[in-house]
Amino acid sequence: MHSLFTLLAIILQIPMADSFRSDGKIYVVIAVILIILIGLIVYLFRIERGLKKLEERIEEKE
Amino acid sequence: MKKLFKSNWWKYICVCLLVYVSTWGLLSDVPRLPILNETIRVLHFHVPMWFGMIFLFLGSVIYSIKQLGNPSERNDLISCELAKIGTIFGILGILTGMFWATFTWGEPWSSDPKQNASAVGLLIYFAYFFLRGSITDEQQKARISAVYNIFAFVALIPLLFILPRMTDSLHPGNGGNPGFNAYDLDSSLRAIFYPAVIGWTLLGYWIATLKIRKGLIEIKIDA
Repeated sequence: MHSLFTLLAIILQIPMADSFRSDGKIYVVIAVILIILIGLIVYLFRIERGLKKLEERIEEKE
Repeated sequence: MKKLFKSNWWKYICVCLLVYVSTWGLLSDVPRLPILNETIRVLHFHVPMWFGMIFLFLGSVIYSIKQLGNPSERNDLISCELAKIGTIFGILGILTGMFWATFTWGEPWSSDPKQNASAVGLLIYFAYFFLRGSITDEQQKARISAVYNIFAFVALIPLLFILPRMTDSLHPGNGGNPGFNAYDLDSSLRAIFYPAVIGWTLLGYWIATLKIRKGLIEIKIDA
């Protein structure tokens, strides 16, 4: 079914970002997204570390 | 939930899945569809918001039921925080959907049945937070909002999954519109879409556990 669709796409000439991809510029987009994603995740881990310290302090008091 | 608080392995799975989704989701071959073109890749980001929302609300309802059987500040807190992050996922879903629709359906809001239903669903959950805010007695708040939360979830399921299928909708899989799985959700999309659903849902639970732990610390300080 997929090959039928590809065939149809070639006949209808559905525009896709093919040249953008072959230029390798897509990797720039991916790199930007990954930097943001990983930055936010590192931040989540840091928040978690702060929470852990607070939890330990409360446990010590009890 | 207790295990989720103490363990970290599922967070690493979440990170791996999201990294995989944001790289391979942009690189992989996708079906060449008219109008959608490359925006079909939004599937890996927009739809998991809704799936994540449902899974978060499901967790919230489970804790609401627990709250009714065994009233405790902890159960109420978990239920409320899961509902909060679920609502955020829903808002992100509706915003990304409107943005996607502007370029594919021609306008941000076409009053598509699924659009309207999800907006109503979100309003039901907004009312949940207003309800919580308006009751000052803590025990009463926990009890009434638990009952309301169960009602809200039960109302949400037909709104999102049954009613839009009864009429024609622009969304795939509804009315006369063939679903993604008919032909266009092919194996290359599916290999990214399912991990995306798991990854984004885990991220939602992760953020929720942080807020719940903060709440538990506050409960202990106040006690």
